[in-house]
Amino acid sequence: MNRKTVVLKIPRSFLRYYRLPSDVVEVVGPEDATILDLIRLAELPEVEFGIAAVNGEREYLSYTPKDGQFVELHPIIMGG
Amino acid sequence: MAGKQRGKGYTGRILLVDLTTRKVETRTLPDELYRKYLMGSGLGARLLMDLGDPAVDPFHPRNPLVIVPGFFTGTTIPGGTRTSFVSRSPLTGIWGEATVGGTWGAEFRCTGHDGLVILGAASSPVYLWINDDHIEVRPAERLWGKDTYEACDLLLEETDPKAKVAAIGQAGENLVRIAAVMVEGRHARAAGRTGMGAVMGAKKLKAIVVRGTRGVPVYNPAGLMGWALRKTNEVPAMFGMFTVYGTSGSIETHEERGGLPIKNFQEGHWREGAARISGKTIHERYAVKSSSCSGCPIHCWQHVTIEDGNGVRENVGHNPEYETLGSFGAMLLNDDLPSVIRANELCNRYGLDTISAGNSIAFAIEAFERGLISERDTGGVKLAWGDGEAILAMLEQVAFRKHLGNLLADGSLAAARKIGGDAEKLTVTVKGLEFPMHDPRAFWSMGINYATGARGACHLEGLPFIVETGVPMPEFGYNAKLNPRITDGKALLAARMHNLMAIYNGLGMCKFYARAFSPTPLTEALNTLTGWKWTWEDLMKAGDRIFTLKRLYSTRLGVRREDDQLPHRILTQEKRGKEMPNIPPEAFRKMMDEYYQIRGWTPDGLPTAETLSALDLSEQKEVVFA
Repeated sequence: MNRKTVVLKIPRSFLRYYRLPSDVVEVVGPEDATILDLIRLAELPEVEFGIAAVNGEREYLSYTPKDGQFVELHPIIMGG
Repeated sequence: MAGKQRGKGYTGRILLVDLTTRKVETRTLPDELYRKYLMGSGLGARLLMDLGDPAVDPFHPRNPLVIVPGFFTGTTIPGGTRTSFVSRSPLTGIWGEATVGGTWGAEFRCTGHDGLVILGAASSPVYLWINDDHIEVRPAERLWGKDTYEACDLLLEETDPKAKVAAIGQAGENLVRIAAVMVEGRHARAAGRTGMGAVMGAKKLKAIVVRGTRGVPVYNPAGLMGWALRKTNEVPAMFGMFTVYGTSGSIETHEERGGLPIKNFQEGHWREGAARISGKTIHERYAVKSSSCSGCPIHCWQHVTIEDGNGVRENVGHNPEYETLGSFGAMLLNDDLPSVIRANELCNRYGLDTISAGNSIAFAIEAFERGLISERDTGGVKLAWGDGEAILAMLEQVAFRKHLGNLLADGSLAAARKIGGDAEKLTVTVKGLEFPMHDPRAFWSMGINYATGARGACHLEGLPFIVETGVPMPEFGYNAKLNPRITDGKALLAARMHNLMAIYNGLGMCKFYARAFSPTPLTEALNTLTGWKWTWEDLMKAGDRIFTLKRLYSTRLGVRREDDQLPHRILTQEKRGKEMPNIPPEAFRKMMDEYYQIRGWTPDGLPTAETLSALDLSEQKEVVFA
């Protein structure tokens, strides 16, 4: 199966809560990998994310991004 | 031999206590009421409609205070912790409601009662002692004037160290209209909103102390235990860093996404400030131990210590939640975390709603800055953004109704109307209830949620934005295209979430569990508890009915479309330029038209006769259309 490279962007504030080197992560995965698959490959905290913006378009984490796409991960936000 | 009778999930017994006559009465409710209104604020609304006259002043003895734990409160269902306090609100003059977690509600249910109605008013301070079936109205002169921490300690000495205390502080005693009912002393859980503490104060009721030794009667105990254990094991993994930092851990994310209100809703960014007062900072520097409401595996709150004037660390109780960090931090441009923690402690001790108190002080600072008020009004306090000392001084003024605090004690809208000029344009309320820390310019669904919320600007009455951030609600069939800043789909989302949160209140579920429990699992739990055979659609219909009943309470008091209005600042001032503009008035009107249509209300905001009939609320027709 072909591989693809996708850039994942997490909220910058997460760097203070999780031991992550950067808020931008380049992930290489199988062509049919969903956003959630890529989050797992990158060992990001999947439970924190509910939705993503793929090149600016809102998508669920079950969406399969294409090679080279930029995926911004949006955190689940609750009440207070 | 006849088999043991199965429980129904409720006892059917409520307590009526008339403080004027000192008469205590137990009444049995018909099963139909539980099926129509669940418990919590659903049953509370029905009892308030039946036993109270909405036309009387909120401080009149004939305005009842109704207290009902949720269906799940006191059971093993994780998150089933909450209790509703309902009455006519002294802050807004309409439907009033505040819910609280902790363990008080579970203890109350273990007395064998499903609810408590307080009628009349005592002639001198009293507290209520409920020990299973022993109910006593006791004198409380020696408690009057004490803060909630002190009062709780004294009451536990006087009754039973295992008892649970719901008390008011000095703010409730002084009829401060933003006063809260505080639960369990230093644990400091708050029934914060709409001034329920002032209703207790008007009744001269300092506290309600409960001790129960019975369990909630369950239809299928083994089934419920299995369900609850499974969920208790599953749920923590769904909450991520919430289990470590609680709500305070989200302030930076809220800031980043634009939902955090800053400087009385005037500014767009406060990144470094949010980091300085964040949950992580609290956790690393001030937290000493985590804790939880009854049976909750999340443990989202912590006790904190700060240094007193002599350098000694003292336990000041519960940490500031996100709402408090927002209202005493970002709203006031105050990044001095110890002063935010101290403000939280003072609110807890005095018994003040931190959301309304922080908002009111933000309004006061801006009014001071614009020359609408001066040091003559504030008793010499120079109000300025980020001045922790001035903020604490204003809190004391509010709790004891001194100087400007006497105006702010009636809420920011009432204060602005007395100050006059353009002051009202600086307030951010709906129907007089101050905004929580979720700016609707970031999520337009929150605009429609606030405008139509039964108690005014309330985030917990709907929480539609959580769906826009990806919390799954598979029953509703949402897709990810729900852009936060367009009108499409927002009225439907707000209406559905209003109904769902009315269910959460009726069940006594903590709203944070919306992340884990959509309508289907809630229905499973309810059926196992009660033996009912409901579908999730049945449950949603109950939510619709409860929400509509609360609306009817307020329409009886004259609430119409013109009251379902967002404040000037939200409709006219952008937050982050084109990235996060104001909600355009025409967009707001469109969402409102759709909302009323979805609800089956007239364009003026009144439920139609057909709607009431469809919701089995036909008995309310006479009231609405008289």
